[in-house]
Amino acid sequence: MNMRAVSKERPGLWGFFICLTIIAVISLVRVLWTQRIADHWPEVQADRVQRIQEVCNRDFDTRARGLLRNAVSIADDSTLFQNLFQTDPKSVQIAFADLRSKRHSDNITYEITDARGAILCWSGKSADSSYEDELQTARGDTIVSLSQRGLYTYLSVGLSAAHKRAYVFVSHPLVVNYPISSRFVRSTNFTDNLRSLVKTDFRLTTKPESSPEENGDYQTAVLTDFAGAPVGSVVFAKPQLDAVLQEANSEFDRWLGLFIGLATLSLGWAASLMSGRISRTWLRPLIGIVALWAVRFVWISAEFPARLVGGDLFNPSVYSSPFLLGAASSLGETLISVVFLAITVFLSFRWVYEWIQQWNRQSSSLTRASLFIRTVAVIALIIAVLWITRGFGAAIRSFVVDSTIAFHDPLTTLPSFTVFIMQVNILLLSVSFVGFTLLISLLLSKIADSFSGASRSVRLILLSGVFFFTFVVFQVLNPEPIVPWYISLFILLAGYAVANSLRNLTYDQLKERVLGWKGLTSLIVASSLLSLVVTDRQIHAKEREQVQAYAQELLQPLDTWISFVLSDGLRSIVSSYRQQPLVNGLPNDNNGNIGFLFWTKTLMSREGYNSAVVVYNDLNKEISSFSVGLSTFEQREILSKVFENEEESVVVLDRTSPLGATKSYGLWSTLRNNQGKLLGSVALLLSASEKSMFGGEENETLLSSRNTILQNVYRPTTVSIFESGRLTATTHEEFAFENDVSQSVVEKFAATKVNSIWMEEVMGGKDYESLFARDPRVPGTIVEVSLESIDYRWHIFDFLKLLSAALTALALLALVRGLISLRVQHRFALTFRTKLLVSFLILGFVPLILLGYYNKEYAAQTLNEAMKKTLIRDLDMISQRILTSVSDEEDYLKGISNDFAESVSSDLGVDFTVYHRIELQASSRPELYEASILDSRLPGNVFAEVVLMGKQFVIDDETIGSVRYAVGYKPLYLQGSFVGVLAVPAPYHQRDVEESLARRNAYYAAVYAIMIIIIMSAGWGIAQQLSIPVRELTLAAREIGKGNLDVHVDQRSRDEIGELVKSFDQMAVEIKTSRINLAAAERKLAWTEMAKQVAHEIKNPLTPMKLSIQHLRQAFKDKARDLPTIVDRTTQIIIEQIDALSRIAAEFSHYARMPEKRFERISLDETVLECVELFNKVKGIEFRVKFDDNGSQLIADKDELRRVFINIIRNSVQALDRGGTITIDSKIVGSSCRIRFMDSGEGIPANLLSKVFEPNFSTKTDGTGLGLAISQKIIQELNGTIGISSNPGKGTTVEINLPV
Amino acid sequence: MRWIAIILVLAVFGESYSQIRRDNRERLYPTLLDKESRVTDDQVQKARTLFKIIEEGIVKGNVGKFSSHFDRQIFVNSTRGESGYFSSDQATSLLQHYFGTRKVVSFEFSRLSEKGLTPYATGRLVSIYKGSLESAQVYVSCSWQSTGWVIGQFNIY
Repeated sequence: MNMRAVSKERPGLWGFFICLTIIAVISLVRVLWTQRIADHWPEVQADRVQRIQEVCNRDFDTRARGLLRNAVSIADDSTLFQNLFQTDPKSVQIAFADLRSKRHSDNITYEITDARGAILCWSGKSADSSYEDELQTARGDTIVSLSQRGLYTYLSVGLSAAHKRAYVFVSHPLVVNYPISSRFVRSTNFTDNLRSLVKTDFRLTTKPESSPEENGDYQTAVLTDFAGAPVGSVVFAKPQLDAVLQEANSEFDRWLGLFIGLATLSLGWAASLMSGRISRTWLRPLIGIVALWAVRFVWISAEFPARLVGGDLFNPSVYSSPFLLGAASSLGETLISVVFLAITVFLSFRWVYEWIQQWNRQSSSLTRASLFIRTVAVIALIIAVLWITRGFGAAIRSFVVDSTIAFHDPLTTLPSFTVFIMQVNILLLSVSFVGFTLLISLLLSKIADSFSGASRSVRLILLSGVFFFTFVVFQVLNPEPIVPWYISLFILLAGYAVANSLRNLTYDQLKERVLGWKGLTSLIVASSLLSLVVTDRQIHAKEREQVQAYAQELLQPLDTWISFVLSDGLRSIVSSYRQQPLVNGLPNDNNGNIGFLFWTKTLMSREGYNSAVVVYNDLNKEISSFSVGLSTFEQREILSKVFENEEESVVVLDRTSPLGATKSYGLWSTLRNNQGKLLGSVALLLSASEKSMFGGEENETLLSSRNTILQNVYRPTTVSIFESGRLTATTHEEFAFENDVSQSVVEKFAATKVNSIWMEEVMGGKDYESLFARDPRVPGTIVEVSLESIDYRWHIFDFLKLLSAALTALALLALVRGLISLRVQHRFALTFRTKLLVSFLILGFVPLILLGYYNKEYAAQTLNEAMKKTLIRDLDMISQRILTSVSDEEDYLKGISNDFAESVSSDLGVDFTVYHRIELQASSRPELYEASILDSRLPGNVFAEVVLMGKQFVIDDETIGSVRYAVGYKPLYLQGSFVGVLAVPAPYHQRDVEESLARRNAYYAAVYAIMIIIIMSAGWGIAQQLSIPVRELTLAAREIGKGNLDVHVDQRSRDEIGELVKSFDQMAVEIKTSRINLAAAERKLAWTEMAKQVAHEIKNPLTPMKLSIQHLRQAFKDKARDLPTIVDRTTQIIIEQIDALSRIAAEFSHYARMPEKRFERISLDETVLECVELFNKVKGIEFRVKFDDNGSQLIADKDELRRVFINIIRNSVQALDRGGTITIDSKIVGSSCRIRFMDSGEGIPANLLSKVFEPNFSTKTDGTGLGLAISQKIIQELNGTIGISSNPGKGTTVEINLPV
Repeated sequence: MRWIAIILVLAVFGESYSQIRRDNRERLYPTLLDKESRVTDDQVQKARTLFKIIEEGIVKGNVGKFSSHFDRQIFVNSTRGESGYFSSDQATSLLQHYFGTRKVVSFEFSRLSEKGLTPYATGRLVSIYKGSLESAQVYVSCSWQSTGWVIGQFNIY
């Protein structure tokens, strides 16, 4: 077993078993827990009820204390109260401004009252008209109260201040009293918190309950103030066993899902590592792929990580497709799936390459059977590419069609989170698609290449034939292509061409090329471009579908739904009224309360329709009405039609006029009590038209809240209606009426019998694509819906947003690789070129970001200025009308009514509100104030600035629901006296800013995109220009380091870099020259040294030769008895020395080097003796020799050693020119043999002793100075040591140690 | 890689140009509205059958029973907060999600209006959601396409 492989798998296996254990434990705990809950349900229920009560109280207490803190901070501001109690308006205004500056939320109201509860200063919506009651019942310095006012129930906290001269009340809406649309109200946190906690309906009452309401399934949580006194209560349904069990199971399921996900991941990881043990290498990646997708599907079934993460990422209303058993059931699931797909592509490359290598090893003989199989394989692979292309197109189409994501939202500069994730999905899918196509094309190329036996051109022709035949057949069998045929063909051919160029690379080379920076960037950019092309087409197709559905809606509006809404609303009102206690009639209600209350019970209010409810008593007198979005004139028009029809019969009023087209509905019914007595009647009215599309200034917030089908179509849309071929209504500003519909449209409708036609046309100098649709039930009526064509700027803008996803992916990749590099190499290396490019990118983007920010600020400022001018103009216009209509204050109070306001508003096309002092006097939109959607009290800071300080113009913000808009205020003076304040809203402000910003962004983004491209190109060019010479210099320096001096770097410029290159080249030349000179000098020196050495070496044999001949001559002269022996020995020595000479000569003549060493086992003692014998006839010198008894042998070159010994003995002989003794002894010391040559000469001075081993050092006039240097070299080569010591006047000792 | 990028850039510009071209081209789409303005008895019967299928599907909490009759763009409104136009696939997922988290106790179309060009049906749905009994009103309306009735609106409120 491969222990190393096992150690790799071990963490995965351990992870799996640990997770499995945890799963078992969780399951067991779940069973025990649920059992325990079921067995002890009464106690558990009581405990839950108590917890809910505690949470309600705690939440309430926390909110109250938060409000108290605000009250304390106000109460502590003594300056504010000083100013407030002043008489001069300026000080009071400062107090108002001070109070306003402390308010950081729109939802909160600050009110300062006097000791009796009358409000002196305020900021925010009025929570109560007066706090008299609260102060009267107050038990301490702090007051906590709940009060119902209009749409909300407010929580108010009061605190005494300024030594009890004043009270500070801080209020906050706690609960929305009616279930009406979020168009009008903002949901409150208290509501959301309780709903998430209790998960059922609950009711907040402002009457404090002294004892809990125990009513079967209901329980009460009493809300108390800081002293514990009850102020209100929350009634909620008791938790039920099923609900609690389901909640507990749901929680357990979440954790189980987590650990199942982790367990499968661990097991899959271990399995893929274990596959490394399989001998068939091509099988390993396949097992990895199977393990990967097994993990994926287990995750899908365990809903991991959807259950844990949640949010928009896993919300099917953002994106959902039934593809592949839930693998794309949400945005998050799709993201996980495309990541897995990308990994699959990576593993598939490995798998295919392993298989190709297997194939390469097999024989490639081409039989008929294999030819047939290969042809079938080619066809199958071509079909695979086309099928994958189709699949890719289908996936992109699903991303667009099956989502509510606004891909091309022009109002956003940066893509939103969901758009970003979807773009990442598209990018990863595109990369996977390119990968798969390349992979299949590689296979295709490989198989095609294996058709050997024919010439290349014949092969190409045959292959092309197969390609196109298969392509055509596929297109014929694919009648509804998702991807156009030319894109499929392009992908097929391009894939094959690329694969052909990469075919001969190995897997590692391919990985290097594709996963290197260049390859990866090219891949991501190419995938982005490809995905942009395909996505754009799908978005365009979806827009057209939406327009078609919209046209259908215009022609056949949803009468049935509206009828149903009205009928259902009526039923709700009638049935709810029947539940009321018996009354004799409807009360006289001048406040519109009943009308409003009825309206809140209908689906109209929940759906947010422009609608109205009118209530009549039994004498058919109108006693109450409430409307939102319908003018009085419209109401009267519809009502007259409604009452012409029978009870409970829906009436449709269809009006088309140059100013617009409207469709209104209505019905009426009687109201009877349980005995059937007629009490009154009620009429419900509803408008389903979008007035803003047909001109007129309509408050955007009062439009129907229902999502229109064109919600995500951001192209400017124009709708026109033709009656009998003549234009009768249009939203286009420049169209003239009485224009005819295009003749070609009429002819087409007549000829083809279709009911809709798309055409492209130019209107007002702009390009449009228009849908003409007709209603066969109403001959002659044609609706035209035109979408303005988007120009290249928007395309670039959208492409930049898509590119931001790609760039983010690249940046993340760079970060990951950098971190890996940091870990592995302990350094974060960026090349010079990369640093330069990144610097240019930063320089390019930073101004873009700054410009984006200032652009927004400038756009807002510009629009604010424009809005201010418009408001001033409108205020002047309306105030003139008012002031010319009334003469004095009494007239003002009587004459300025809601009817008057509506009439003027209708004339001038501007809504407005009039205040008398600080209270509402009249409004063209009275329903908004009646329903408390808007506050009927003049805002505090407006009061301070306009009423107190007399400012002629003030702008303040107002909010309806979540929509914020600006309101302009102006004082009204009659006969020099102040009578009231006029207010005019600017409802388009927010939208105008966004639209203007979007246009600017698109315009500037296009320009900036071009600038960024230029900057990047310039940066790239400059980086290249700078880095190439640097790189070349680096390479050249390396070559020089290796010894290659013939390098040359081209001088590409005349700047500093060019100078550097020139200097470098000069340096290289100089180095080369000096090296040549040095080499020559070295050679000369070497020759000199060689000559010296040769001379020395030649001298070595000559000395013993001379000595031997001298010895022989002397022996001959002396007629020595052993002359034959001496002759023999002497001649032997001479012959040996002559051999040595001839060897030296031969070596020198052939290779100019010293003779090769001949290693042999020699006896040191004998060698020494031989050398001694050469000198023992020298007169006056006595040799004393003493060797070790054990003898010593070593492996060495005998000649070399002899040279050493001769050299040393000769030196000693030369030093004893007056005679003396030379003592030679040897001794075995450890593993070495020590030989000492001691003479009794004059010795060597100490200052010269250290130089004796230096070459060329000699004290003799005829000496070469090499003897001892060569001797030292020879001894050192034998791993020995040689040393010299001398005692001037006494002698010199040379000691040699040689290993034996 | 480089030349592929160049070719793709050309493709993008070609594609973009094709979207902003100026020449007038007419495209014909399938019939938007049927030219017949009255509803036949056969169509009425088909509408009833469809509502029956929808009713059965809702009772069993099985959206798949009637999702094949969804229009390409269908308006869905549910008590989970989703509201708007969705594709048929997305609407299927949404409603599957809705019914997947609820156990239907009872449902019946109490009001049926199968005559007219946009027949509708409405009924009360009682279900158990997180252990609590929940009541909602269901409204379904259809419209006639050339191939038959398709569901254009599905409201749960």
